[in-house]
Amino acid sequence: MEKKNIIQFDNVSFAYEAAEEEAQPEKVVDGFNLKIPEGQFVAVLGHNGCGKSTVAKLINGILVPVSGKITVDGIDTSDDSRITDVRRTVGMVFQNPDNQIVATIVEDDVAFGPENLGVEPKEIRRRVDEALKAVGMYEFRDREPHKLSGGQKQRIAIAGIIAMQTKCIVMDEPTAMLDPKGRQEVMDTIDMLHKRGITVILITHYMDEAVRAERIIVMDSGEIVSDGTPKEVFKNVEKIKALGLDVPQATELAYRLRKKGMNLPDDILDEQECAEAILKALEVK
Amino acid sequence: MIKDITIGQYFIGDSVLHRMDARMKIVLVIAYIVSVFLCKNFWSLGLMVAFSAICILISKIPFKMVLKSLRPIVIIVLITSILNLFYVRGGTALVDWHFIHITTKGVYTAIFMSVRIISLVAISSLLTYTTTPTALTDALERLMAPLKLFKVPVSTLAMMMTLALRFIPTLVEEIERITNAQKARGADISNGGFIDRIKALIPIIVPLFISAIRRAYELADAMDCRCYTGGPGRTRMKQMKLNSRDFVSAAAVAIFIAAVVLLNIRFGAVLA
Repeated sequence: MEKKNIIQFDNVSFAYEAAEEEAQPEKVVDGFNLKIPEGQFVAVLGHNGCGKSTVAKLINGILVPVSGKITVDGIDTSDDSRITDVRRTVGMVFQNPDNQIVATIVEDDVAFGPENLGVEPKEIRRRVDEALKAVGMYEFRDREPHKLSGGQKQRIAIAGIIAMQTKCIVMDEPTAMLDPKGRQEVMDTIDMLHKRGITVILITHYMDEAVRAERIIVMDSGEIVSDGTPKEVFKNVEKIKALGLDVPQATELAYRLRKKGMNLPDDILDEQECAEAILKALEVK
Repeated sequence: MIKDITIGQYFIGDSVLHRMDARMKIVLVIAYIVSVFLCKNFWSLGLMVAFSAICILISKIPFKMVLKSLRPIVIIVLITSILNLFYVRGGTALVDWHFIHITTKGVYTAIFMSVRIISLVAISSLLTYTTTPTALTDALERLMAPLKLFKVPVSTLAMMMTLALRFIPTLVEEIERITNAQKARGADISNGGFIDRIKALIPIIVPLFISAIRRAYELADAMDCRCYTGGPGRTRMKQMKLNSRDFVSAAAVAIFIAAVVLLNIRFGAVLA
């Protein structure tokens, strides 16, 4: 059975206001169509300025389309009277953890969203404890956020969204400012969210993060140029490279060996797979 | 390390004073400040000092910390004592030499004023030592809630206070980063005269403002996403509840004020 689409873009166009009046505002996205079924883990790839952050902001109504329609769980994002319902459905995590934490104590920050929604105090307490345990930050609940590492702060920001119990979480390059350890922590948290059945939209430019997703969307100049499972998308190494993007290292290695005449499959994504395929190819010889 | 700075003066602890409701603490400190000025003779003044000392002991705040909070007021205390000593006239004259006139009343006033100022600052700093900034802003928001009737945006003001506290360490870090970046580019920040130093601050302050404004925009988006409207309908996770310890403390302060008044009546006033 086809799952319900939680997010749907119908022929959406968006342009930022031009700085000068004469200048024609350039459209960042034009005639954009996208359907994301509930519970899917989608990675959005693309180099800077391709419109991926704009798409993220369009999803929860920070930006509204110039033309076309975006629905989130059936609600039109341009309907001002229902914007709170949109944001109850789609939570958002930004790149810089420092600029999204509002309180001086970890647990108070996680409570911020539910407090704004007018949830009962006891229920907030329950949700906050649960969310902090889910991201593995429960022991830090009475700490001050500025004394934590980037990865920990970003997990707190995610806990703040979990506590709002949104069906969908959009993350706009959540690992861009983190060290490798912090990135790993955040990626593990994202996997956990996905397993819980939450729709995750991860905007990134790290290929090794994208391959963890169920579906990859590659954007260029405001358009979707590739859309499919990681294996489908990275099969086409030339196309991805032509867009100025990299492929995962294992895919790159397999691609080069294949070009040299080695008999390898074209859908290798991780090191393990790659090593096994090379061994197999060598044994055949 | 810059990361180790604590916001406000909070001193971690688990005393009765730490666990008291912040609203009650604020109200009691105000009552205490009033009582400090009610002391009219050495008996009541002594009681007040004893009471303050007991409060400090209960709080388990090291005495050194309390002294530290008194350092900035040393000069004020000295100046007021000297002024009182020489200018207050009355009672019997102790020194009457050329232009110097010291009277008993002047001595008493000097003593009373110094003791009052010191106790007042010690007890007020005890409030900030035993209460987290978050609890303080929360308590102020709730105590000021009646002002909502006069259209004072109490919750918004409290939110602003919280955000200011939240961003102090972030901006301190930012200043350090910008200073280092400018030094790396050859900016001379710590040398030169007064004017030179002020000029040298410009390359730090301009980027700081730009980044602060950018942060503010991002923060506003993040708050929007978390459904902050600033309007009504917001609940709070941490409910403030008055406990038996709060009522006991209130009773203690009430008894203390009553004792001060009684001692004043019984032994008369040294100061008019």
